[in-house]
Amino acid sequence: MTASVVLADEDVLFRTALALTLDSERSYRVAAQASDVATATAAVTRHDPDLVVVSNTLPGGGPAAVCERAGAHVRVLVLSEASDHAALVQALDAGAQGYLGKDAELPTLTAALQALLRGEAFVPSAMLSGLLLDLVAQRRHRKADDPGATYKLSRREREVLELLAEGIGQDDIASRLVISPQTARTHIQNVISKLGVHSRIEAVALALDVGLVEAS
Amino acid sequence: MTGRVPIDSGAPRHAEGIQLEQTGDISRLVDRRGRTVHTLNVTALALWEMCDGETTAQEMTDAALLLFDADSSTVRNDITTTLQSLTNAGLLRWPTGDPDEQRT
Repeated sequence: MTASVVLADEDVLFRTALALTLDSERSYRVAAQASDVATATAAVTRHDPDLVVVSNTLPGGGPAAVCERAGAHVRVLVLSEASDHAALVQALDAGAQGYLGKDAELPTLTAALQALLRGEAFVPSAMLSGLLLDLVAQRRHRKADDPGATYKLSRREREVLELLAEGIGQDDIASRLVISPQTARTHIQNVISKLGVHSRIEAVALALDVGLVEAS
Repeated sequence: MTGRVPIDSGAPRHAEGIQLEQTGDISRLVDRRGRTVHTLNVTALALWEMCDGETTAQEMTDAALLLFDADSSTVRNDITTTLQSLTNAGLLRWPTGDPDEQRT
């Protein structure tokens, strides 16, 4: 079976190269290309594709607008410049079933498209545990009001914050907690996000200020 | 600990003396106590990283079911099997059945 694909990416060179690559494989047929949301949604309506591959920075509203227009049977893969936890969560919240960094190898893209065609979700392996822990945290906070935990940091995020306060960097945090550097990065991003700050330094300063961690 | 792990009664955490080594897509847990090496697949690595002493097996299962459109008994079985394997290899500690653990 040949799957029809709509490609939506503002980078014409990247999009054209991807279209040529997919068209060269028997499994895919690129039905249309688009460089913005308006063109992409029109193409989705017209071609009713099996797959939509869309840039997370598509001008005119990004993947959310495209997901909204695509029917439930259309599977959406979001391509992102960087493998970023926040972008991943945003893509899945928008209704996409898959997420991949543009730095991925071609076989990984093919694996992602095949997973989506089988009705599965696709998340880069290095980002999986961070996403699952995020889902666990969301469920916990829906179940319990948790008024005491103002910043809703998980136990692991508190550990990461304490290590940051000791001046320990991402790779050493990963080593201490026996997790991958990518997962350590996700925890750090979550801490920064939950504390409502913009950097690790601000996070530590706030944590010391409100007593989340103690000065050593 | 060997035998059936207490899936329903606690949150597992990493045993002491374990290091994670990654080379490309290959992840290995190195047990410095016994000098053994355990290779992890993608799922096992994700579960390992969720073993923070707070997240229960049930929560892992619930989260996986939110993400993957799969049969719940299959997901639960896969997660239980993986946690069992990690536990039998001495890589995880569980809070139940061990008085020292209960105090921590």
